[in-house]
Amino acid sequence: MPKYGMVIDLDKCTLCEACVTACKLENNVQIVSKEDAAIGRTMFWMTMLTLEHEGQYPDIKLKRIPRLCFQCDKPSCIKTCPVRATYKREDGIIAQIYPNCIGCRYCMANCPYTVKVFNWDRDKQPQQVEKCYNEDVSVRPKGIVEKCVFCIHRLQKAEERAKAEYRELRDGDYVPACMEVCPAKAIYFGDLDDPHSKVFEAIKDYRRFTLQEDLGTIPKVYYLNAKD
Amino acid sequence: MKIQFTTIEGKSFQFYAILVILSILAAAGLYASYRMFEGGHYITGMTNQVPWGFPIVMAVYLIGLSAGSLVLSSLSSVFGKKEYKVFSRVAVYLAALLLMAGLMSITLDWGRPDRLMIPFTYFNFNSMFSWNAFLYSAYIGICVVYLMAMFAEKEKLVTFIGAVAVIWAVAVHSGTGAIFGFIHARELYHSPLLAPSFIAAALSSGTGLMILILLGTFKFTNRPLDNRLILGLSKLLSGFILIVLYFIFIENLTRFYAFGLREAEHYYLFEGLHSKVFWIGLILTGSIIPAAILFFPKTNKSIPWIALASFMVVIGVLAERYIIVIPAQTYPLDQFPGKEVSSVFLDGAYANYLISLPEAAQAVGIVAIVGIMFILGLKLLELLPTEAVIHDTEKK
Repeated sequence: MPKYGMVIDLDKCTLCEACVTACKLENNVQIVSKEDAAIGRTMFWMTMLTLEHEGQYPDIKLKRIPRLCFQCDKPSCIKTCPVRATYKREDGIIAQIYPNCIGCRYCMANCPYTVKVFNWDRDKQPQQVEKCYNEDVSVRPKGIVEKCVFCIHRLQKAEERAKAEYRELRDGDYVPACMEVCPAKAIYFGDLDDPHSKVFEAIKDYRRFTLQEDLGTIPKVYYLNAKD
Repeated sequence: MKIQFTTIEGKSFQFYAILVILSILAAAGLYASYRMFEGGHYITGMTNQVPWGFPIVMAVYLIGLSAGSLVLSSLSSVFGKKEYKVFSRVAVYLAALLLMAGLMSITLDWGRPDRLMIPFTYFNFNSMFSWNAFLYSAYIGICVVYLMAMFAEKEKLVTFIGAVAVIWAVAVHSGTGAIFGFIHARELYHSPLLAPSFIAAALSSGTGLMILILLGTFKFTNRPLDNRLILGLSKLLSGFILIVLYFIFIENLTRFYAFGLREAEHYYLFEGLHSKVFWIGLILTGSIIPAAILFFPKTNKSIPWIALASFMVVIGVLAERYIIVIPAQTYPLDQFPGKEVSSVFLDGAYANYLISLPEAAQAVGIVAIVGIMFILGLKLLELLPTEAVIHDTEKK
């Protein structure tokens, strides 16, 4: 069984936020009004965290990292979900079963990385948005919690294609939207256990770190620190 | 002497007036809940940073009152304090009502209350919520059986179920505390002390409420009530207040001691709206003043003063629930120790939470429903004794 993981090379990252945009469009993430966003109801499966912000434009020094669900090996969210609406698949992806979610938000309180978002008001979407929905991904109703699932619908598609072509799934067949659009190719994705995959090479880097290692959640999204 | 329990007549103008007022409040609350369900939770004050708001505070509070009430009802059956038998039926009935109200508050807070049955069909062994779904259902069952055994006057059965009920009440409320205490990521939640301090708060608020209920119902029905009963309960209450204070002191001292938690602790005690709730609501109103009233020899024998102290404790424990649930979420998670984090997601910033009107209306509505059910229960069931007088031969 593969164990999917991701590596984000912060040295290559240009902070363009293409991944953030691609993620939002790929997964039909709700568009939130300005007022709601201002009080903290932003809907993103992938966001940019600003760590350092010095100086004035154009002489500015920025340090930002993209953050998505870390698909922890020992996730605290699946432990707390009373209805098993979030669960760990055999391939390591922490998936969501939207029809099961009762919207109790216990997982949101428990996630140390605040990557879970709640659908506060799905009905207030702009009309035009419906035209650009991705057909492969369900549109979540209001009142349930959602998060990044490593574009799991793409895995299904890749598996089907590989099956039709009578071959095994190859490294690079299944890539999430954020990795696909990254112009700097700063995102690696693949099977962490496969010695021939690019992520396997990438996590051997000495610059590797994960967020809040002391919590013991063992995130499967690794960062490679920027070379100063 | 055998205690006679009778129903109240419930035909007076005041009775119907209270019923109508409570019904209006309940209807307003249910309308607010309907709006929350139908339109989405954007009408509440909750955000992605503060996913648990006032409905959860209310739920924890009501469940605490319920557990406290159930333990008090067992004073006569299990702990042999026969003089307290007069209110044991009322206490059990109230415990069942309050727990249902707490469950209602939780369920109506869900994004999808229509999926009510899913927690019972998809059990997650690791989740405290899952356990609580069963603990709570069984709790209501125990209350019903307990009450029926009391109506049938089966002493031995009452003692047995009473013992089960006490254990169950402690388990239920520890489970409620564990919901928060088990959250590792948030430093203001993660504490093994939360479960026992929840029990202490449950006992003190439950005793306070019982004093108020006794004074209120007996006065309203013009039945004689022995002051010694209230004095006995007030002594218990004064002890419980001190235990609650002790837990708060230890918990905050521990957090203040550790360098890593000192910033969070400073935020908890001195910054934002919740710190005022802490100092004014919990420490002053909920602990210091009632403790002073109950220990000061001039006031601790007067019924109006005791009633005031009980009321303050009941309010103070609500404040305690608030400062347990809310600040732990408004305090930002330390994702990058040593760095100032910011994002459109409002990471690294103190989140704001203000109780919105629908949340407040829902809370008031739920309390009103408890009130309606309670006075209807007094009318339909034989809950109240004809007199609550301690006969000296009874007291050993």
